[in-house]
Amino acid sequence: MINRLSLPWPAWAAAAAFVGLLIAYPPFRVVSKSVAQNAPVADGAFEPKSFAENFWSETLLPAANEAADAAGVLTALKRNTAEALKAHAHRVGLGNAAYFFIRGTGRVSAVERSRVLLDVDGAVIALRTGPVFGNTLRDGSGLIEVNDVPGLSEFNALSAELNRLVEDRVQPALKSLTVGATVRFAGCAEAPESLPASGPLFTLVPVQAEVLP
Amino acid sequence: MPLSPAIKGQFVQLRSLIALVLMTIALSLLSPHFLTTDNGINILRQVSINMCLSIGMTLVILSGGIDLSVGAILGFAGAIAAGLVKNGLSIPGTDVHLQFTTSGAILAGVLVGALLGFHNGVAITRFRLPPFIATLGMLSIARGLAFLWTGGFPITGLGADFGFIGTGAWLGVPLPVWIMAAFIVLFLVVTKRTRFGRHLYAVGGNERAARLTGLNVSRIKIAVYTLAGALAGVAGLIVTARLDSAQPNAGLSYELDAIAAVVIGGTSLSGGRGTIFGTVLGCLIIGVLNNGLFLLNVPPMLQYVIKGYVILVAVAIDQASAPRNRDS
Repeated sequence: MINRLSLPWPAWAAAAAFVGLLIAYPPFRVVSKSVAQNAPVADGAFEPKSFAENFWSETLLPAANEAADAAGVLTALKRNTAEALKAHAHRVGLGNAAYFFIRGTGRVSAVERSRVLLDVDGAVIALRTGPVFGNTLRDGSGLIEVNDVPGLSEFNALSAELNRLVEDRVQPALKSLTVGATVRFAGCAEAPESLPASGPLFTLVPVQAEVLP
Repeated sequence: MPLSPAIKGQFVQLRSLIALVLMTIALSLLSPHFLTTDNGINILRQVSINMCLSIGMTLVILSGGIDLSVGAILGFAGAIAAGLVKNGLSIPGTDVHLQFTTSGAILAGVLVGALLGFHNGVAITRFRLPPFIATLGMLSIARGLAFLWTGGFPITGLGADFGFIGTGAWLGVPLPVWIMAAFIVLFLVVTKRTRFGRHLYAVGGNERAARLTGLNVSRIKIAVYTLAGALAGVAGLIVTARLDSAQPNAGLSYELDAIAAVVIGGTSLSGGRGTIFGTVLGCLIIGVLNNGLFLLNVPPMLQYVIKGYVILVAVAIDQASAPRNRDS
């Protein structure tokens, strides 16, 4: 046993120095959970949750009331896709993806697992009712860009928080939808560069949704 | 006229260096942006992550093994450090919460990497799992743990102190480059000037003979995998600090770049033959190749093809120059 512990002196010296450093500079501090939860956020630190909350209530919801009319956009899209994109969509990022920010009213024509299909003046679109992924809401609104936050990772974190807000605040109203119900909505969608051969024209991530009586 | 064995031997020793010099000359002629100080520092900063992984991988391959888990360990160690520095750690069932300092989180990241490497070593030596299988399992385990720890979301906003590891500089040279240089020197000494280094070559060259001469092969192998894990942890810290974000899928396929660098650097996949210096050259070749292909606007899909062929050619040269019947 003693033989097994017979390390050369530099190893013992390194170990002693390491322990000394740990004592001089403790790696952590023990606090109660309540103290940790109430700890203030460092000055200037980006908090995606609060940023998303403010953006949602102060910018996104007011803008949703002024969004483009869905029926008009869909009619234009079916008539001439390229012209409709030029007139109603905005493009974002290196991929140059086109997005619509629209509002309108539609009748539920089908209820699926993570979406419902809405008939909006004869055009069918999908409304997302299940888990929200991606950056459609962040990029589709056209109201925020990467330079508004400290960096790319914060920009992505903001997107994730906005998606959570959709799941928490908008989608619960859509959980018990049935075919034939009328829904007033506003939201963002990635615009198709050409009309799909079948299925809905695009999938809308809702910012507002209300089932009309 | 056939080359004399002495000249051939010198060529084999220096082939990675010759390849690197030729690539540098060619890229300097093809792109005016290549041979600049900024681009040189940029290449060094980029290779620093692969260098940490590759040094660990060299130790593992010298011992006759392979480690497919270093990329996943990198991701998990980075996530651990980021989570601890950002949120601390609450002990379930108690009112205790540990608030980690930046140095504490860094230490925890490295220790977690070392622990997972130790797990690999134990699985390979005590449970006699083939290194390929043991580390493939760890690849999945570490990746899963990273997703569990982060909930699948990036951990961001880690603070300036933590970010300094990845973005700071000293004497105009980025900190990751200093870290890389320190590890290169340390492991050059360890492999060439210490008893552990000699034992490592002995185990990789002929494990049975090493065992018969009284070496504790299992202990050496466990130490090697633990070191590889710890180095992957350091690489994870650099990646996380540089991006100011811990991504649960960070380090995806990084193990392949590390293996490629080791092989290009002349280390034999059958163990017992190779050097840290060769791996340094291998990393630089991959870094210069990546940078050059980017500067020359080579499409990314084609870059993969080219890099694949570079690895194949390197292994082919290694096979052609390997001594015959070395285990007999």
